[in-house]
Amino acid sequence: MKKKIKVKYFALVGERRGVQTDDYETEAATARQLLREIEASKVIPLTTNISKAVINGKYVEWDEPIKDGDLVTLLSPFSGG
Amino acid sequence: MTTDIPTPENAAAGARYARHARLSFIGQAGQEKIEKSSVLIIGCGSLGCAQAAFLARAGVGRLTLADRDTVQAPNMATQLLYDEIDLLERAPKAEAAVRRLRTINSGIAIEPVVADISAANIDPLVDKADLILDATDNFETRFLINEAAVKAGKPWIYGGVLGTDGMAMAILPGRGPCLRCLFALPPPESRLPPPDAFGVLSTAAVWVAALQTTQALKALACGGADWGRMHTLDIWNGTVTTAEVPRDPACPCCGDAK
Repeated sequence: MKKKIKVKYFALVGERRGVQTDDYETEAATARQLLREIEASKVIPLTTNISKAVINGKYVEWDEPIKDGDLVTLLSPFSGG
Repeated sequence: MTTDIPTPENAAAGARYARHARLSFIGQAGQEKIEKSSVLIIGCGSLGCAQAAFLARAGVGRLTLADRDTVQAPNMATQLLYDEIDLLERAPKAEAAVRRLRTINSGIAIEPVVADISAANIDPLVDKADLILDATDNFETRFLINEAAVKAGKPWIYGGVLGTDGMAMAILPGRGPCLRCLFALPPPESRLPPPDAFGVLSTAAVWVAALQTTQALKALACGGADWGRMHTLDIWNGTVTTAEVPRDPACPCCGDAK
């Protein structure tokens, strides 16, 4: 059964740039599966090296389960100074 | 018409720092702590210029600015301490920044360090600072800062900027996560989007620097900061996202086995 979640991410190019939050339906069981699904589908325009996941305001390991209603933020570290 | 109410405490703070001393959560006592503090800023780019200007105006007693580079044309849009003479002379950034800062506040000690920060020279710089501000442009140096700060037990404030977005997090060894609790290894620079390709908006850098500097002033004046919370800023859309970073007991830098 698909879970309805929100995915927050950064877009560096295109019309949707900066911090974006999209409604998303997924069968992914974990944050890792979710990232792979999004990368493969290209439904969400990830343009950076995503290195960390945040679920409901807390950094988590990639094996963290995804639940219906979660807010999942996919983050890339910023290096510029 | 001003709503400021003069008090004996505020008068004692002197006119120069009165606006900060009148803030209830800084006060005269907090301002005096700031004036007795020493801060090391590593990097004199868009973040470092803004941090240094804020801290010089706040009256931090000793500032040390470290950077290996010289002023170049692409720096002029985002690095607020440099002028066209610095550009013509290809002045070392640390020296040009210190010259400008001394015209802002001649009553504090400001020292330039024109050098590539490495494992060979970072420890003495960290040892004589009360707090370190990250204004570097690479994670290799940030990991050096993290290692030295954890070893010395000194607080430091991570900051990074890209495009119109940025991040900042205050780190206090022993009280919360360090950078390696979040990233066990430096994220490979080759896989990070480079500011040269994607640009940096000056206001995004100043916003990140302002948040870093606020955390620094809180730590110096009040002893506390927002330790271990990563703030992610998007100035184009005017949003801030905050996430809690857990401490990793198995962290190779600050973990329980160390």
